[in-house]
Amino acid sequence: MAVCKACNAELPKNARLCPKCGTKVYQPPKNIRILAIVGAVIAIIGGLLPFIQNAETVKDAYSYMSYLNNKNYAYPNHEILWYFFMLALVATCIIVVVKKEVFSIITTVIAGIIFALTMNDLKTFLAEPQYTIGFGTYVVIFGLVLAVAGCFFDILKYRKTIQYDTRYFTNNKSTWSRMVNHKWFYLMFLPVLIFILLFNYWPMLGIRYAFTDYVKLPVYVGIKHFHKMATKDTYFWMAFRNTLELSILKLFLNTSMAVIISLLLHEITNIHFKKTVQTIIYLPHFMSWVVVAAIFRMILTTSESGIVNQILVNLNIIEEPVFWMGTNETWRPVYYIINIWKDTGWGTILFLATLSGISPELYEAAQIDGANRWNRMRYITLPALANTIITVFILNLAKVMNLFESVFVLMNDAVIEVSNVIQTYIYTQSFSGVPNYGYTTAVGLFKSLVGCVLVLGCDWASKKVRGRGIV
Amino acid sequence: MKKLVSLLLVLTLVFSMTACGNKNTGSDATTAAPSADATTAAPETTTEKQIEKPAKITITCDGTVVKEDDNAQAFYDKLEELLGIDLEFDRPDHSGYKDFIGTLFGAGQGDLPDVVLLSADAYATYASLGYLWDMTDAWENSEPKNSGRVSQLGLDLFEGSKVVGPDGEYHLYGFSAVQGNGCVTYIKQSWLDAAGVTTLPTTYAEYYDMLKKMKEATKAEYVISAAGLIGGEAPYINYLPEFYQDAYPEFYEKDGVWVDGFKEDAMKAALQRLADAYADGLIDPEIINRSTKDCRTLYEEDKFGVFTYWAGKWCNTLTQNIHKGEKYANAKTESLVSLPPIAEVGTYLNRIAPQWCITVDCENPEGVFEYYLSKMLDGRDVQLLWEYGTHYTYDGSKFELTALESTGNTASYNHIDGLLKLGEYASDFNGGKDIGLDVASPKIAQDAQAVFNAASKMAPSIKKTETMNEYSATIWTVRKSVIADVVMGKMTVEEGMAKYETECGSMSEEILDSLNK
Repeated sequence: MAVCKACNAELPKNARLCPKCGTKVYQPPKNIRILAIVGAVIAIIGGLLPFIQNAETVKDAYSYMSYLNNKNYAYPNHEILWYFFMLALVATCIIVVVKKEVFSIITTVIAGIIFALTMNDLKTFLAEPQYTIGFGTYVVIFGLVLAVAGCFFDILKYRKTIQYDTRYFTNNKSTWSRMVNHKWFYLMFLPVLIFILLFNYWPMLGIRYAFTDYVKLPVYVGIKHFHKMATKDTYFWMAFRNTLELSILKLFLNTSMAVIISLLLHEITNIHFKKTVQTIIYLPHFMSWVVVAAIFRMILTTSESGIVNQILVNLNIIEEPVFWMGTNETWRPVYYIINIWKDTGWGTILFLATLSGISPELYEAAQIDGANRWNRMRYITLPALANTIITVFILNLAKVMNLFESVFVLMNDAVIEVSNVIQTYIYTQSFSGVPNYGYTTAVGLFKSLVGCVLVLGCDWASKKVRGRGIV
Repeated sequence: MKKLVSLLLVLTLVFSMTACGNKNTGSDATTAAPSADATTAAPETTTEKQIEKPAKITITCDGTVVKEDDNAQAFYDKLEELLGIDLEFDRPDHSGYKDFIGTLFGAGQGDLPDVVLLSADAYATYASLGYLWDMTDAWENSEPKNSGRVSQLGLDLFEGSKVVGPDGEYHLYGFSAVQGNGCVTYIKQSWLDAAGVTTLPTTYAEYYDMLKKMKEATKAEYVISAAGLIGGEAPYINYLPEFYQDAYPEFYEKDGVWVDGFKEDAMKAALQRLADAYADGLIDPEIINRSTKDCRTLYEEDKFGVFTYWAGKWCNTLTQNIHKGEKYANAKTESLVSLPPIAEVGTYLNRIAPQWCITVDCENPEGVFEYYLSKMLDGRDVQLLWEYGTHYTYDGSKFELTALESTGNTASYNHIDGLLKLGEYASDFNGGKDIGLDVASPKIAQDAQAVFNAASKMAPSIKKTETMNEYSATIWTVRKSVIADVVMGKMTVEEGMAKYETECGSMSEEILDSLNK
């Protein structure tokens, strides 16, 4: 926490004046390293896009990232150089983050040199009239320029900062000597770092396959798959829409039901009965989706053993048994009900924990003031629960794209239009016929990007609501 | 202490990673050495002498070979002993085998086993992509092919198993010791009796009339069920042949030109027949949710009376299960009648059998073919082992099946079904007789197989192209959706076809262009 130099009072975050004595608070110039990082990231994205492309067809495109040459043309294999190019740009980002901007200029320039050298080879394509410079080239150039400029400006700002206030550099030891000082901590951290790099970051290199046709071996095709997704594959957009619709409505319903049940449970005074009910409603959460699907198929079947249909027919609500899981109109309501049945109990845990933390004195005071049960819930319980509801909602919103198992076990050919979601779509594309891992990676990448935007959005919302982010 | 913990953690990680990457290259001490006494081995041919015998073969196969839980090790040991080759079997879970194969080949060349068992679709696909070794010449020059033991049907099936390779020409990339088999329609005798049907239907009109009479007589909710309205792999239509008749909803070669069978009039008529039967309550209303296991269970519980399922031994298995289960009155005396194909169907479809393929990663494909694959039809011990495994006893006159370890039941065959085998036994081996056939395949199974064999033909050949591979998943999603919607009455046949045309028309055209090139 920063303090005022004049009166030693604690200063609020981002305060320009001391709230106690009114002294102007020194604001260090904000680091603009974000510019360099954005530049490097743009160059990285550009490195995936076509450097040379056919003006007539989207799939005839060239970069130097693919380790297979297009069958029609032969040019030197630059796979290794592509890795170095990307590595240099990643290094730029890391170096900028650790405030070694001078070195980041070097890595960015190295990336630029690699790019220039390899472009020289691809230039031969331009002799043919159908080929033009691909937009990946422009993106890379723009990214590199931005990265170098960002680093350059950062250096200027950095020096300026040193001249103004050295208090921020009390620990003037080099990074290396600090690392040596804390070597045992770094050593303890090493296994985790290796694990994360190996199993979390190394697989991310696979996103390059989104720009290849990967049936036998990956062949670079530029943005062909994204083009197909956007223009040709209606089922992709259907799956995308279904994912959002199913997930978001499910989230609303599950959260609402969990809140309602928590409130009802909270009102139960018999502790044994309350615990029994809690245990019963938690149990479905531990059942696998395959078992849940089998149970509901039995309950909802059109045959005589289908309890639901039999009851409804006997009550004259419906004339004929309904194939609940086989029609577009009924599949989604059934899906939501099954989800509520399975997950609501589990969802109540957090809310019940919050409710148990509300001071009983508040209720007693309200009772003395004449508040009835409804008013106590309205003016004490719900406001106390609001923050948790929003937190749970935000945390779950970030996961809306991860919808697979529950849909996969309940869907069928008759309801494909309302049930096919992105993950089941990827599954079908991967395991029906011949998988083109390039296309499914492209769909997966798109899904991840949407998921990433949602996570960042939720992080922003969480900061606003809770004062701290989720990532 | 902290230093020690840090070091331990690092070392643990390093060792665990080293262990992950460790390949077991050591020889297995228990592996049988090449059999010294070749008393039962087939006589060596000239070819065998010229081809190097592989020391070790890696094999990936599904649960159609004796399962690990049923002491598969005994089978591996015996096979190694007979072949004199170190065999390394990889047995992924049977239900996830298709996905496993997708992942295996998706990892690309370099990590493939020497031999892999592939379904017909996967076989055609990976042959077209150049992953499989062309064994056309090896088969032509092989001992089984030239021995005279392989039946004419077998030779025809080998010919029919040729698929298009990366060069666009038809070659043989797979080997199967059995015919693919197909499905026969089984009708419960009790349902025939209840409906008063004394003569089996020979035309679709008679068949439909029989279904209606059965529904009326038994008051059943439905008369026929299947695992979905369309099969998941070629030949697709085999579970409901009477309704599909001459329709084939996939790309196939017609008079030398490839056509999209889904767009043809025959398919429209088939959809209409299915929709009518569904509307009349003859077809299981929840057919799209059924698996083959669901259908077998419901059939055994007498929920329906007409079931198209695999020919031969399945007839016996279904009958036995009905008898044992006794889920309904008179179940003990129930019998299944195999329906010869009605006039409109003409013949049942014999699918391409799952194929044993040699991958391009195999260093000695000729040797693997000669000393491993072709031995499946050696007409001697190896063929016998593939047919009955190790779960039998034979004292020279009496053959008895022994119980499987996992269930306690007996299995009528290991991998080669005696009723479907393509090669006979050598005349100097047990007198050329299949010693266990009558025990493993009761008359009821043999009769059902005979009905199928008397009127079956090979399913249309499969050809895969790059364009087809690209659009196949989407096209099949649309096809299945259209079939479900039309049959369940959500849209008319015309609307269904219009939907297919709108969503897949251009893809279909592109595929046809690639097939007809």
